Amino acid sequence: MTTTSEVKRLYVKGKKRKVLVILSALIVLLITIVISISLGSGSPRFMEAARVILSKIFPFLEINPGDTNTQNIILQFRLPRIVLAIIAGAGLAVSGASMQGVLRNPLVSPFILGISAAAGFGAALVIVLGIGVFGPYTGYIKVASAFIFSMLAMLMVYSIARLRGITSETVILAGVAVGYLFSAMLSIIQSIASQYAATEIVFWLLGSLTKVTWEAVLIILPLVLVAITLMIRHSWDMNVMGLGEETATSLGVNSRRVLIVCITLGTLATASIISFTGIIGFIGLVSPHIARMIIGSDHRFLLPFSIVLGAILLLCSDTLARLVLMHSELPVGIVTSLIGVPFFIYLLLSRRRLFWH
Amino acid sequence: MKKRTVVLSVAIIVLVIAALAYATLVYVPSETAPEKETITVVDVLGVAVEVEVPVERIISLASDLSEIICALGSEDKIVGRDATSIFPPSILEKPVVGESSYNPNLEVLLELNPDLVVSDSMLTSETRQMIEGAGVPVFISTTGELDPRSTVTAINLTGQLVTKFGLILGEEEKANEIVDYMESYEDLVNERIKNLTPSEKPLVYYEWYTPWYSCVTASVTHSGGINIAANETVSFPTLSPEYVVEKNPDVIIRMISSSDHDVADFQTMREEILNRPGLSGVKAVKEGRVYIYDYAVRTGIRIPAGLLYWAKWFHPSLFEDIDPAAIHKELIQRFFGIELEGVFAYP
Amino acid sequence: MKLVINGLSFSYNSITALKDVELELGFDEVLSIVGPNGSGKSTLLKCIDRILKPSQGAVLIDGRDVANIGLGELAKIIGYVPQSSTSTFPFTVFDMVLMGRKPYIRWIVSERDKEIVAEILKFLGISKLAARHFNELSGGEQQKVIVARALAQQPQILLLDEPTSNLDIKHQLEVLGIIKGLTRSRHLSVIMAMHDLNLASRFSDRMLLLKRGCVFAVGTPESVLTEENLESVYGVKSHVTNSVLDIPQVTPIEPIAPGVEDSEESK
Repeated sequence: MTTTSEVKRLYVKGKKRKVLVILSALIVLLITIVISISLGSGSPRFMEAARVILSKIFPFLEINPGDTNTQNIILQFRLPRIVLAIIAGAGLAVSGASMQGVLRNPLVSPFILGISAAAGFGAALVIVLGIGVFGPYTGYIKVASAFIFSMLAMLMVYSIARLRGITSETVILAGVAVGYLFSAMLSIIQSIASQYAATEIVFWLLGSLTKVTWEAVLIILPLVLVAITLMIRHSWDMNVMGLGEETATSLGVNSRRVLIVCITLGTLATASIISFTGIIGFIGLVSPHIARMIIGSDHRFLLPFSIVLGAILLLCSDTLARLVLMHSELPVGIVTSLIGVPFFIYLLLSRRRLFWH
Repeated sequence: MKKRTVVLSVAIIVLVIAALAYATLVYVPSETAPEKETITVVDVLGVAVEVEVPVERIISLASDLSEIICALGSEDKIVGRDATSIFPPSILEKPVVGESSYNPNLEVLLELNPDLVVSDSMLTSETRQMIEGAGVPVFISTTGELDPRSTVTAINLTGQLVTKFGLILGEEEKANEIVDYMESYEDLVNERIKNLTPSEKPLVYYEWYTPWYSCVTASVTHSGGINIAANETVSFPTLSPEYVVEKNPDVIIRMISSSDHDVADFQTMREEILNRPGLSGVKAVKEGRVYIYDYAVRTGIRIPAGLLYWAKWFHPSLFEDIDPAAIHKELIQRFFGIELEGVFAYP
Repeated sequence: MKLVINGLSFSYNSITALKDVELELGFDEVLSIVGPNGSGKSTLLKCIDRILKPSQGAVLIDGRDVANIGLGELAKIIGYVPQSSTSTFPFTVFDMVLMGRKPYIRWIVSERDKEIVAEILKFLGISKLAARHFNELSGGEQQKVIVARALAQQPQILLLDEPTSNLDIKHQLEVLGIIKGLTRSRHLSVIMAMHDLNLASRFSDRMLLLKRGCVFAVGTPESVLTEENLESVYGVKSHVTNSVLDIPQVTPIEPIAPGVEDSEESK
């Protein structure tokens, strides 16, 4: 007969194991960072990179950082990209996990409110109108436009969902509708765009970290950090919401409020990221899935693990995108999409096995 | 219930038949006019186009082709243009048939009763078939970067094109004059750079309309430079910023499309590149050899101006006596009869 | 805690599910709500726990309207066991029951929380299931886990919606026996919606009979389960005896021809 202390001990052991998994993932992330900073089409490798970074952090050690070009390659190109890949991967993954949790649907991605199409439309609008018009500010205006239209899409989804009451079903349906609307508008813009603009729009939609600057990192970082922190605080609520709306209410959770708060936070984080990078798909969908398979559905562990996993996935994808072609770059969105294919095939096959159990 | 379905089916069948009838009537090829000489010119896609010469009514769907036709003194033969054809300014009076060659309004186009439609390769093959199906020949060519890997010089290609247009428009003499003019400058540049060793040629980073977007074009070589993207697998690669910095180019050239040719646009673009994070240690930036040009000077018969601008930027000492801006002005005055205004290259 | 319901009405769009329901729940008592399908049993429970919002009337706990009590505070007073429970995402039994502690947990799970969960699992005899996945359990086991979760809330009032519909007779007796025992040992008041009249009669102190959303009869099983009431509400001829276990037991005989119960007015 199992005693109460034995039951408790088993539970605690399970939790400790999960913490260990997260810590291991962090170590993997660290290794990935080291590998990433040592590779690139420029010549600096690990030693050169180490010298540059250490000389910046510990100037009193008087380490020789190498010539200007080497420093620039590490500090202006590789480092901001790695930092942003981590933040973006983390942000997309945790947004995906949160939205899957509150919408009770593991197939939901952070773009569920149609914000990928809306952001694409916003950027395309500026690209088409702005050739010559906005001059050096085109970049900023493009980012702002993508973000504004993402938020607009979110508001539209809430307004439509409210007609029948905001629940997971109405939000998902409204999100699909709004997504189609902006998709159509985006297509219209693409059809009238000049050759140059059309190409630029296509590249934007593919998602890329090539043009990342420290400026962008400084804007995205606080937004995503705040959103992540607040979403993690709702971990328990997400656990309870997975039991169904009635049970959640009986356990004291205001489903509607938690739903709106978490979706808004996730959308904010995602919109902040994709307004700069373009549409990077699959990370927000795949990371939570893999995380759940390894660490379970307790959101207190799922969210932090998704964060680390998402960072690893996007960092690897971006490093691949930088290295696959020798001197040029693949848009990172292509690499992440390619990851998705074998993943979903695996999912298809493994689900069958579980079912037969 | 049954009766309604029958009525509905009949109505649908009638509508379908009506639509088909309308389509065939509209697109039936028109009668060919009698008694004109026919020549065959091969366009850039290898299609042998049969044209009755001299052509009296042309629709041009590409800006550089419109310019060539005007330079050959046949502006009055243009009955329709695309929205990107805006030079010379007098062409703006001509009716617009579409935004670009990609999607022209076929009804308007055919209503203008052209003898020939000229376009760049953005015109889809389906659209081409539809125009030819209506009895109008279509000639496709371009002076732009159609095949950036081609080693045939841009001037050579354009020269061939001008000659063909001369035949089509009955302006062979004028065509020869233009070709000679262009080739004289090409010879001039070749003469001065032919003995340069590779180490004497500058490494050039050629940036298109968006950061890190480059082109493998051999045009850089024709002006005496070495394109750092020359060996890329993709014709228009997005270069890795690291690679550009690693290569440490001596010269950076960047294309913009400035609608009012205001020097401020060029200055802003140059500032952006000079201040772009990560480029501070690159030779071109340190020595200020960052040059911005308007894409117009590398299209059509204006290519000599572009060639000379680039040559002078790559080898200032070898081309000290050449003033590309003045030559550009002279070209425009001579072949278009108008005064050139605005900035097309900076500095 | 004293639970009083005054003039409660609820409509789904234009369909009236509950009309003018009055109820007073005694201390440590088991009250069963019985009635035909669609008579409003589940709806009544949901209105009590603020899962549904009544269109008229109020539910008062110690004089306070539940509509004015925060969801979190209410969850410490009322525990709700739904008819069936699925989880979109897989959880272990321990985690499931731990969720009953949600009203008390800010972020960290305390020793006390774990102690309470472990103790409840032992009490219900499902300790050995603690590490198993909820979705892999049998119906009976799942039901016990859900009850455990509700108990983890340390409520004073327990609402159960058809707690035994998916159980075999052994588990039915076990679960109901535990619930009845809880009212004595933990000073719990219980309201359960039941469709099995005999089980309800056996394990309840009082019964409330609903007919089309209205209270038809309320009182001890003997007073409620009469052949006249059953004919009137269920449209069924039946035979009620006390012979087994000294509790009213209903044996349905045959349905009455349609039209008869419609013309009856509620008493």
